[in-house]
Parts: sequence; C-alpha cells; structure tokens
Amino acid sequence: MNALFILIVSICIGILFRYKDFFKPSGKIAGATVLLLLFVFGISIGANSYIIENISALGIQSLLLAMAGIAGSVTAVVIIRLKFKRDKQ
Amino acid sequence: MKFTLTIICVFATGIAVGLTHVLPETLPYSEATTIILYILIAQIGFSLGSSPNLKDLLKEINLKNLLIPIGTIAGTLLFSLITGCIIGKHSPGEWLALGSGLGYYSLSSVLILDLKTSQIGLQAAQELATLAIFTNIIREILSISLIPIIARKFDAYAAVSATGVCSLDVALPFIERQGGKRMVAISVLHGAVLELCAPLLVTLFCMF
Repeated sequence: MNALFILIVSICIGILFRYKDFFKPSGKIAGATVLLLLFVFGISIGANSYIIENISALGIQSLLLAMAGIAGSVTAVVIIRLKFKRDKQ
Repeated sequence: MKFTLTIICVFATGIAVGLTHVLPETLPYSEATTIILYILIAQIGFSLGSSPNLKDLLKEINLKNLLIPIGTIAGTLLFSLITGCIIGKHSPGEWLALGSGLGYYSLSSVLILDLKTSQIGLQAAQELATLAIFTNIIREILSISLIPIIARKFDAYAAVSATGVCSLDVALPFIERQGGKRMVAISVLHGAVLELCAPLLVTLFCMF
C-alpha cells in the first residue's frame, strides 16, 4: 500500500514540476537506484542458503513461469487482434 | 540491453558477496531493500509524471490501444496461474503475484519481499522474491529475443505484448526495427500502462 501511495504522489509531483529544468537526470538516478537495490537484494539472496541450494529448481520454475507469461500475452493479443479484424468486416 | 547486462552483473555480484557470508546474517536486509524500493518508486513516478512526452502519450489512449496491455495482463495472469497451480508449492495468489510482475523484475521482486515478509516470514518471502526476479529477467531476455519470430508468425502487436513492461524502454528499439515507427507509440503506451499496473496487481495478489 505504501508503494502505491508513493507512486501516485510522485507522479503528481512530477506533473507539477513538469516545466522546471533541474530534475532532468531523473532517469539516470533511477538507474543507479535500481543497481543499488539489486545489489543489496543480491546479497540477501546469496546469504540465504536455502535459495542457493535450490537455485536450479527455482531457475526451472522461473523459466516455466516466464514462458507462460509470454505465451499468455501473445495468445490474448492474437485473439484480440483477430476479433478486431473480424469486426471490421 | 547493455543496462540489462549491467543489472544482471550487479545482481550476481551481490549474490557472490552474500555467498561469502562476510556480512552478518542479521543485517536488516528487508528494511534496507524496502527503503531503497520506496526511493526507486518515487523516482519512477516522478520520471513518469514529469516526462515531456506525457501529453503525446495521453493522446494515444483509446480503447483500441488499451486493449493490448489489457490483453497482456489478462493472458499473463491466466497462464501464470495455470502454470503455477501445475507446479504447486505456492498459493494461487502467490503465483498471480509472481505473474503480475509483467517483466518488471526490480520492482516486483522487492515489492513481493516487502509485502510478504510480514505474512509468511522472511525466508519464504525471499524465495518468492527470487522467483519473481528470475522469472521477470528471463521474460525480458526471452521476449526480446523472440520479437522477430513472434512478429513474423503473428504480428507486431503480439511482439509488444510478449515483452511486457520493457516495451517501454529496453525492447523499444527492437520493436521499432521490427514493426516500424507506428509501433513506437503503442509500445510506449503498452509499457507505461503495465508499469503502472504491475505494482498495483502485485500489491493486490500479495494479499492472498
């Protein structure tokens, strides 16, 4: 919930500050933050012996889930696009 | 692509540091990642709101164009749920939360870690978060690699949909190369909608 609140508030602040110039490098700073975030997250994962021991199982599950996500997206959009073509005729 | 590789290297380095156990296990990792996460969300939101292209983006909002991200979300969630229930081990809500990342690996993983720790404990939450980051990184790499194949077999819209959130940034040059300039606005809109929906959906499904 906090996350959503921060997201909405920051979007609003962004809209308010649209015409000021001093926040231009916000994309690069966000990039640095992502790196910091994943570094710290990585440390916590590396220190977690259960995850390291089961990393191949987790990897396989992730691969399956990723493929499912891609397959689902493509399927849905193909159906939507077909329906659009049919409606046009 | 270069940035994705950088991210993976940094993440791997973090894991390596963690493996050495040079830092005490009792460090407040959960709190630290939560704070950095909130800072990141603030930056993302601000970046989105202050984007000079925001007006052009809002102009592209119509039912026809919005159906693509809606389709991506619906398709991803459905297939993720089915696959997850076949794999077992986690609750349907958790599989949906994992799928809700929509390719947004940095945000979804740490958000799941943050939200789930109080619910199921740090250990289980870390496992889910790890699944989230792996799943979404694989999705990004796999979907971008498949753009030409998907575009040829189906159409460019399907390729946009496959990439998820990264249709906004990382995948954009590839989509433009494949589908032409007309796909750029759709791809960016698709990514932006997903970028907003991902934290919403992850938060929602983490409640179950």
